[in-house]
Amino acid sequence: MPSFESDDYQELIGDQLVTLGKKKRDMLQEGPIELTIDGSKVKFPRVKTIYDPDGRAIPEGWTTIYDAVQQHYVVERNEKNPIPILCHREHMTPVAVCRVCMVNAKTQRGSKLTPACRRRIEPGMEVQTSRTNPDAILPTVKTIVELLLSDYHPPRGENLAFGESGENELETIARDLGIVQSKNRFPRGTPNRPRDDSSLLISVDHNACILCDRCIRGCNDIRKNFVLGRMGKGYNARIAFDLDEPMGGSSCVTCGECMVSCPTGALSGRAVVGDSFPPEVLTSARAVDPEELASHPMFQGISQPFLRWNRKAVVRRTFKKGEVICREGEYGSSAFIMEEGRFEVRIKSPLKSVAKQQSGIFSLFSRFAVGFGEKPGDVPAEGGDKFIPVDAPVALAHGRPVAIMEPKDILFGEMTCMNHYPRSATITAMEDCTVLEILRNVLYMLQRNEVSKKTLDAVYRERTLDNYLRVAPLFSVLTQDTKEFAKFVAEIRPCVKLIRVHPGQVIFRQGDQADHFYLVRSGFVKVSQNRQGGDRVMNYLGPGSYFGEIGLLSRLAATVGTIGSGLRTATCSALDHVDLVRLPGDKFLELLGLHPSLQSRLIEVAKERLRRDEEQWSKIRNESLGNFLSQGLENAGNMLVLDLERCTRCDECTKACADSHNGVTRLIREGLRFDRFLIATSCRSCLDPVCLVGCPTAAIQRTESGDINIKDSCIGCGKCAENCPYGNINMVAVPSGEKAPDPYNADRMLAVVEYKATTCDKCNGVETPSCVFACPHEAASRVDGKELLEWVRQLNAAGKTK
Amino acid sequence: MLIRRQELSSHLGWIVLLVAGTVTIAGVYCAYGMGRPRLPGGSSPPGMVFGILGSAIMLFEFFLWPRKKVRTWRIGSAKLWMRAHIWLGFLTVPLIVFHSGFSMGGQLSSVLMVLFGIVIASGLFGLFLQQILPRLMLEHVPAETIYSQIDHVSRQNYWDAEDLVAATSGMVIDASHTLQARPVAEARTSDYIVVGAQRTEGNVRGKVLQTQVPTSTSVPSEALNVLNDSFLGTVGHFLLHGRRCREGAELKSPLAAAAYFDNLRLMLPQSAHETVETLKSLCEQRRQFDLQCRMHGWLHGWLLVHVPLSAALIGLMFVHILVALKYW
Repeated sequence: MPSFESDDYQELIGDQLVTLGKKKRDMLQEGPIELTIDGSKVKFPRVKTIYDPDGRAIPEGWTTIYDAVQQHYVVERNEKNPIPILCHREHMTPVAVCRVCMVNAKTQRGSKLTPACRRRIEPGMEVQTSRTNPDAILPTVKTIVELLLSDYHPPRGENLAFGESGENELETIARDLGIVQSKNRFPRGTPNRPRDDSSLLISVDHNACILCDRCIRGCNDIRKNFVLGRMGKGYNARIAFDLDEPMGGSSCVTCGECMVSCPTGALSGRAVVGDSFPPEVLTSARAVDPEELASHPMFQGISQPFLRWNRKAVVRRTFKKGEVICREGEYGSSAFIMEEGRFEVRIKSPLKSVAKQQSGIFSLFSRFAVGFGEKPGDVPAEGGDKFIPVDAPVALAHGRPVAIMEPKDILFGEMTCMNHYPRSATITAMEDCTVLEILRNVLYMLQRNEVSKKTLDAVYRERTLDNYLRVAPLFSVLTQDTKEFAKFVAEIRPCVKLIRVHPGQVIFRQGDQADHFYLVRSGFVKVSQNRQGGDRVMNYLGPGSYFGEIGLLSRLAATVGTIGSGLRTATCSALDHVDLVRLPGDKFLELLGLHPSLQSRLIEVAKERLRRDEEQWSKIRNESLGNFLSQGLENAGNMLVLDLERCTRCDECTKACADSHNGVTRLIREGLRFDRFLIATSCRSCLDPVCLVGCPTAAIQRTESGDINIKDSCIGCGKCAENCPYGNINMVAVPSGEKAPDPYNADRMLAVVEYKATTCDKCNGVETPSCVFACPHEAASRVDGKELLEWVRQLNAAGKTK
Repeated sequence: MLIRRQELSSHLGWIVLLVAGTVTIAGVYCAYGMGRPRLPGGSSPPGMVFGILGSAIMLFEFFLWPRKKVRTWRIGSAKLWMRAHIWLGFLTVPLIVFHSGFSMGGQLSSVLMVLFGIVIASGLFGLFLQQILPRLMLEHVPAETIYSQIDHVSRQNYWDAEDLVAATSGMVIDASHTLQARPVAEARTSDYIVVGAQRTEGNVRGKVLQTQVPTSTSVPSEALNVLNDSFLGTVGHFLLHGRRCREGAELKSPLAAAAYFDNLRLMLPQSAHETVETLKSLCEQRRQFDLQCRMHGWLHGWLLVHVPLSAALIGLMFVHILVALKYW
């Protein structure tokens, strides 16, 4: 709606209505203005009005030329409005930045071209649109559109929904005006602006942005979120979130208004594409209507557009007594909101979970290797653990690993959903049960939405924290005395803060002043140290682990000179979506003072950790482990290595790979070397597959054999390719089977291609992948990191390494 | 290396087959020829059998070539085919020699014997090269890249070096200041420079990316020409064309190149030394590419003799069979 002058008196009623000062209110009393539109004499009120529930007139804004023309043609004559608009919409404040809505306005002061969306009507004004005076208006409008097109590059990921009408408004206007991009008089700029894919729900392609400001007005004027704005000047001008934060890291609540407002698809939804649930789920489930979801307590405050885009991402499933909802060890992409019934949580083999407590440089390897069939150790690494952490708000006792969940526990399966880890337990319906199964997009939204986040955090604080502390090995010394443990939980509950950390985000850096103590709720934290010789990953900490204690313990009198200096001894960062429980340092030390057994246990473990770190560094100095680790080989589950003493560089492996994949190779015979082995650029099936994090459609998944598989539902966003630290995922243009007009030559049709992520699929289930099968010189092998290290060690021992 | 001494045990079955086959062939031949006035030839029963067996093996040997063209067919791994190719290839020697009755025969069979000898010899030569060259390449070409990409990587290195020299000396890159026009997409748009350079660290050997912040303001103007002239007159040519170019002849040998860059360093201020060091490293990389080209030529060049002559041998072999059957 058009705004008034700055001296107008405005008053907010609720969050929407505006009243005016006396001067403007008086205008309501004025008679209508008479003007001419394309030769027809018409009358319109000077001010647009709306009416409140009591029937009182409230001025909405000045009547503009566009409003008058709209009324004249569309409302009264049921014809098409001859004025094109791009940066303007009727529910928005006009800013006239695009100037596409030019008309010729003749007043007593003379005749001139003026933007219809912003210019107010005046008595006696003669308005000529392109219908009656095309020679004066159309050349100018065409020039403007050509200039806009020269700065615009169509967004990638064209299959995503955007805009009010779902079509590209700029291209539509250009088409209506008969503008062909190939005949554009102005050269097209280089698409060198960044793309922001940090949000799981909305992607921002600045190359497609024409700075119409509709998203900014949608965010600030309509939604009152005040997140979006402009930054930079001239060619560097672009929209920005908060103080130019990545969208995913900003205070954006992902309401979707900006995306709905965008006329070019620069802001586009990363909606769930097609049926992302497996077929067996869809046969037994019913998709939940967005309207129904909007009334669900957990979905309060989530925007309707979001729920509509993700209508296939929430299904209601009912389970009969004894039916399994999810099974331990399976991979999945969904979480469950409990609605009715009771649920049994059980694990088959408690020792698997105990093995998770193992630490050291191969802890992550061991964590997954256990899942792949290795025998777990018999003895828990940090002895005395009585409970097993699972991806649910309950704790499982070692002796009897069974627990019961109820709807008031709200949610389970978050870790599998967000981080693509295997299900940690089997959940069975104890009676007839109903759940809402949700995909990652929706869970991500629930974790960000104010209402649901508050509910989840409250439940966690009241019910789950108790279980969690019980599970954490650190506190096992307290659980022996029920009263002491209850007292401890009551002390800690009001002090903790639940925080969420994005993948890659640093929690604290080595050398920082120690100020908090952390417990890992879900996800993995990477602990790394920097010393002479570079960075080294010291450990990965999973759910139930804790960190940050060493810097704090050094403040205790009992540890002076033995544990650190009050500074952080390592850098801790999130490997994936990590949820943490944070306790202030002072409170932590106070609690230790109240529980001496806990204090002595912590000091003991801290000393052990420091000793182990030193041991690792000396190992790294003495062995080739440093290079092994620096190349991330410890993380490789199945990689292609070429023995360069055997390889004759015949490229049969690459050709075989191309032959097996429609002529597009998924390996490159190039990469870093470890000893005499070349680690080819091909998927390593990492034990810690960071490529899985962030896929908006869960198209990239890990199979039961540990291989990485990309499904056809890939939308080509390239997130996995960005995430892969080794460059082993490539974006390949695949013909979609459709044809479209060449944007540079309207007479020609071009094949439409869509980008898909590709990576080595180990030739889909054959015993020996083609690359190895086709190598005549016995140079190619597929091994895991441990095996490769063993080979090299044996060669070293035999004195064969050069 | 196809056959390692330490791994001979994995070839034991083939070795046994070869030795047993050779002994059997010789035994049968001797037993049959004992007391006969002439050595048995191809028309004798054992000679005939040896000929049929030898032809069948040679045909199988030849099929390795089409087998390599259908890589995805699961008809035995390439490794198995190659082992069979090598060891059965050895077995054809006694078979064919005993088949010929130690005589060259007529014109056709003489040509066949000569071709057979050359094919066997070229195969042995290829096996020998494949035994030693991969290891030599591993040792002497740590900056190795994919053979077909050498020109592309060299051009990329040239552009990296050009950016580096331009940033150090303030040179403006235009048509008169470049030896190799770059595509638009390759134009430098960032504020920093990425230079592909070779790194050797412990057991990690290969190419890594290094970044270099431009230092244009720190070089006095009189030194600019020295660096520019050196790059445009010598180094740039060598980076692009390697040993084939005349302009960069002094960089072909590592010793001469070291002297060249030492001399260049003396003429430039301290702030430009890092750039000189990077140029030196890129030239070393280019020399390695040249060496890789030579080694690659040897590794695969023998096939230009072995494969066509094998095809000719198979063709003539069929002619020989027809002629033999006709006059038998």
